[in-house]
Amino acid sequence: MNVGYPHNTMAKSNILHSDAIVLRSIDYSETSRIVTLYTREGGKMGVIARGARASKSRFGSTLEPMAHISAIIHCKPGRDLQTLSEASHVNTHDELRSSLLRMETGIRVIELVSSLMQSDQRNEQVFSLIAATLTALDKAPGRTSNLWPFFQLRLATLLGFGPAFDGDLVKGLTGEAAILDLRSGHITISAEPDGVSHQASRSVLRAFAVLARADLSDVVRMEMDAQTSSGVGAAVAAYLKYHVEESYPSRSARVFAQLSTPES
Amino acid sequence: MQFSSESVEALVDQFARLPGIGRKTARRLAAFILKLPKAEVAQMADALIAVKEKVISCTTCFNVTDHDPCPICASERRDHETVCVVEEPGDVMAIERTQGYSGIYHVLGGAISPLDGIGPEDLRIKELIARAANPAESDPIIGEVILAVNPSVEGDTTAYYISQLLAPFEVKVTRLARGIPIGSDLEFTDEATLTRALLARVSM
Repeated sequence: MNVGYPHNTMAKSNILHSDAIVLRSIDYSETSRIVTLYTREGGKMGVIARGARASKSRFGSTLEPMAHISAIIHCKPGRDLQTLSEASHVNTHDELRSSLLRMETGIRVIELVSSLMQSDQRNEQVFSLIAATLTALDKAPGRTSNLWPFFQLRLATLLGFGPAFDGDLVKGLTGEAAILDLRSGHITISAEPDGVSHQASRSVLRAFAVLARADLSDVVRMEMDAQTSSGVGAAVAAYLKYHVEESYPSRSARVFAQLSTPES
Repeated sequence: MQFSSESVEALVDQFARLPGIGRKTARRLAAFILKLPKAEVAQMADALIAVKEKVISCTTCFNVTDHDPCPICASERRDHETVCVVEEPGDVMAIERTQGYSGIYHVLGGAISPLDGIGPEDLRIKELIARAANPAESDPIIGEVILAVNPSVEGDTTAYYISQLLAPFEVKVTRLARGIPIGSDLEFTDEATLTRALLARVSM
């Protein structure tokens, strides 16, 4: 596991108190777990939680993927895995695990973060985005399908490769189809010279533009028909794949595709 | 410390492959084997070989067994209308140790884990649905399926998926209760577990 050493807060103390989102949790030996966290203070970190598999473990259910926890981590420079000594829930996300659809979005969010974030990358805005998206997923009354494309576009923006389209041009689009330039994120009527284009309907690319700039509270209220939603999903995936190439995760998507077609 | 015998070192290497066994413990185990009489070591070696030669998977429930069907599936004393679905054979042993369950089992061979790329096709879910949909002529119709999967993200995913598939059949689908372990302390119970325990509270 590639694990870094958090800076700033670490220079003063070898004990890190931080909010964290659990990205991955795997059993280790008879009683322990190795957990990958995305912490507010130190970015992505690998920690070992000794005794976490025992039925009366002090960690309880805090180390399940997608959990938002408050963690106390004992850190030593040069060590691959830091030691998690305490964890408590900040948000229990009771509803997040109440349906396959919510779990799919949540799992894809943490899978993407796990794949794109490097272990020494501290980014408080990314942490806030993950926490806010998981909370919206937990609290939203029903419409959660917009959250996945929203999260991807917003993460791309925070990492410096967000789509750079002109909002007025998008509003003024005419005709049925339009072009998303995957390299720049421009949305136009005709393909740019030397551009790498993704063609979609005007309504799909308008929705793409809205999701890229809207607030989270508006995103969960935004209504899209199934065809537009599917088109936006394809456009966002094409955009992300162009920029991050093989780092774009597909494992959980493949499994959830099987779950959504049980009759096959 | 290192043994001066290549054979003993080879044994240490093999012990060290076992889960939860480090090289230090492996050396202690090897030293113990050295002190045992040859007949006892032969018994141990025979048991290891027998596990690989004799143990098969029950074609009904997929539990590990020496005979097909396994003693549980073959038993007339068991309640064949109730099927307890577990992830691994070790879970069957855990439930049998309670002596509080008299139904039969279905071992999935794991749980759906999207992050690991393990989907329903990698598990024995189709076989479970077939048991519920088309029971063998000699078997009673299944009345209840107890989902005894782990209370984890993987277990939840598996439980939701199986309950969807079983919905068209007239079968009651239940899941093990989640709450506070007996003997533990409320003060140290995490918030999510405590919330589940409150939701699943029972009248007295």
